[in-house]
Amino acid sequence: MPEQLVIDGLRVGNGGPGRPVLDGVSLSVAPGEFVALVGGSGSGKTMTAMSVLGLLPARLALESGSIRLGSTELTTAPETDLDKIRGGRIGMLFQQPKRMFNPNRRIGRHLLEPLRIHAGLRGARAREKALGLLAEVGFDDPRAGARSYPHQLSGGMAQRAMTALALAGRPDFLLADEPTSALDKVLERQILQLLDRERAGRGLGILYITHNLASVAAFADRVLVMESGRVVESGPTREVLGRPQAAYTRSLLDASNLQPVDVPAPPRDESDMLALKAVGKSFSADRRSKAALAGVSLELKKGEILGVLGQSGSGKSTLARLIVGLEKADRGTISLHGDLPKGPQGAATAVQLVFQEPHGSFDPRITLRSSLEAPLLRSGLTAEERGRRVKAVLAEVGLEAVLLDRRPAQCSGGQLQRATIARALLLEPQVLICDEATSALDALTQRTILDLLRRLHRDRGLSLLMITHDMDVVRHMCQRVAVLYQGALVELAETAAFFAGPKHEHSRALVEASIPCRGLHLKQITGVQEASNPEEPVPARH
Amino acid sequence: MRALRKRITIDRAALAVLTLAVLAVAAAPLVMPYAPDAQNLAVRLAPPGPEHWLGTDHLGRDTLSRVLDGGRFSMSMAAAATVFTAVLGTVIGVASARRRGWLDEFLTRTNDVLLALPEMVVALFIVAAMGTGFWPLLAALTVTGWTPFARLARTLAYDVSARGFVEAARVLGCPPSFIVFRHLLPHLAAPLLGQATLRFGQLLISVGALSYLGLGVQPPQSDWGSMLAAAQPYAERAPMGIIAPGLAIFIVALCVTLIGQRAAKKAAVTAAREEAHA
Repeated sequence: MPEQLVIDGLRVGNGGPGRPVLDGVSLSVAPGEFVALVGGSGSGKTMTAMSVLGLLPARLALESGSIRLGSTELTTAPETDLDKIRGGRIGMLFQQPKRMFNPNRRIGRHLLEPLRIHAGLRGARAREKALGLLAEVGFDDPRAGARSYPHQLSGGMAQRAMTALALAGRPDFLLADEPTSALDKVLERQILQLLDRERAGRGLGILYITHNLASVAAFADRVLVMESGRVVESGPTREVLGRPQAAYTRSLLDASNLQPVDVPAPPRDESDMLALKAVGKSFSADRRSKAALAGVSLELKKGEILGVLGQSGSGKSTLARLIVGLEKADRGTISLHGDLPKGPQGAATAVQLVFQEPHGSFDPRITLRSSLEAPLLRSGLTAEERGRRVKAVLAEVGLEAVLLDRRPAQCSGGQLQRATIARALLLEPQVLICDEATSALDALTQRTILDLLRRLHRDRGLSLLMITHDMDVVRHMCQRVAVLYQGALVELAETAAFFAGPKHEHSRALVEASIPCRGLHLKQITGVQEASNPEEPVPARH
Repeated sequence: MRALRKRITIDRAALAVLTLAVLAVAAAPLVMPYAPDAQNLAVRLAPPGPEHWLGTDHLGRDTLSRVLDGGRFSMSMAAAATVFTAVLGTVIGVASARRRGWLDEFLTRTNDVLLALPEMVVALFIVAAMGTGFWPLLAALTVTGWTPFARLARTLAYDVSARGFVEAARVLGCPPSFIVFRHLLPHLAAPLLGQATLRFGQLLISVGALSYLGLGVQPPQSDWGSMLAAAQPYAERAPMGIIAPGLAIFIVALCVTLIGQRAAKKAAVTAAREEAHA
């Protein structure tokens, strides 16, 4: 009865000459097995999953290799058979759950479809089953959950609902493509535990695609490492992460190992660069979210790196948007040292923002040159001087000038995020706000961006406000940590003191979420000792 | 044969027909068999024949010549009105989305009010007040016709303004002109173009309708609408007098709509491809 999902020598390319996107990928997932597929962006992880479902983009084609589910060959199976397999025997979880729902349909109606097609349930029985599924994935009130529209759910709840949808057809295998990379650590852990429960409970085979090695260490039985379309290393999690053979695996591990680094503390008498006093903001009923800030007071000292932690919806991004002037505060004041100009109306903007989604912060229609020169158009510089300034900051962030003639779609996420930082530097800012600036990037790229930010902090004396949900980034970069919870500032402490003993209940939950569950802590496997965080791992397997 | 059939797509055919129509109308003085206002009472209401391909009207004027000549007014008026309404509507829509607040409220309510009033009645009122002729007619069509463009441009501009790159440009202090001309308008162009071609067809009919009611061109000049009006009493004896200008309006409007839809679709695909990454 145990039927494996086997991929054998898979080759996918655009049909023409040139390097194939996937080059001889082989892997297998047995029932009840948790297999992780890791690698940087563009390494072919997602394409592997898409090949299994026969959902490759039109420009790509399967050139050779086989994909078998038990005895069924999927590569040659007719579309009607694939329709039964997709969602029926193989479920799929996507990275951005909200985008995968039809915004005009309630969650309950989404669930009825796979129940009808794959389980043959209709009417009252299907509705009952849908509620059962929602309860199973952790909806406290399944009825309310089924009645809500996708936009009414938080990111974490939406991914749970997507999990319910993926499990509705009672699949034997689940392909999970970065299901938690847009979620914070607490939610990530909840989702992965939920999947792991299905695995242990009824033998669901899981292929978990991610660039987050910590979660791999915590949950996966086996791991495969991909680099530019090839599997470069595979084996039991403990071995691959503990004694990596391939150079690429080692560099991934190095990049993931964000250790606290000695950042010289800013002098005590240093003045506040940025001061927020009792800042409040609430969105009126017709705005898309009701997330608000309730009386946040906070100072950023000159030359400081301050981390702002919080779950999705805690008001972190609202804070950033208020500081740069994209939104207006309802209450309170935001002042800059020496009344420096700020906000979109200021000619020279002393506070700059680096956005989360590098591809979104550049206009897809215009070249990087136009995008980068635009902020200088009001500076009175000649075209030649503008070009020189742009090239200078580009060199400062380590980018080649040839990129200037490209459009955003022709650049990688890491290149674009550097370009975003370069663009912010053009205006000689005093304060740089990074709103989840690295969470959409893979570990290697994240590391280079973080290193760049540290260098700029050192060389230019920039004050940084790092808004993130990633505890490791905070520990790696920041001198102080502020925690936002439901729009309020619940804790503000020195980084070391914060991780040693978080005071607020929510801070504790955040810190604890980086503790392993089933398997091991990444740092245990890789043998890195942690002086500042002596927590005991929770016993393996629940 | 099959290859040939594959290459004749509906929009290529539409383009060919429209080009022919525009050329014929533009070159009307050269190709017209008769002067459009040359009367020959001996051949009043003649059926189509070798002398007069499309017959003659009640004053014995050659229908083919009049269709070609009348097209100059109908088509240029519809084209001018399309351009004027599209530009005015886009300016108003983008201004609404950029300024927001009371201006947005005011412009949107004005739009609603105009939408609630029958277009033709407002146009009649303006023409009655300003007199007839090219410019009053254009003014009437523009005043009533900008609303769909403004509505579309406003919605799209709101949408694009919420995207990361516009917010980034605002934070970076990019000049508003850069945001409008380099960020907003290129993203608005394709849908507005589609709207414009749909409106061209409607405006061509409106021009005809106003002329039909005697508020467009004045005799002796003629256009397709006034030809329809003049030929109506004789519809039973000389149906070609109605069919020819009516068909001209129908064919030109259809061709422009087909071409525009196709162009807008292509532009949307190109945009999607540019934005696709990974």
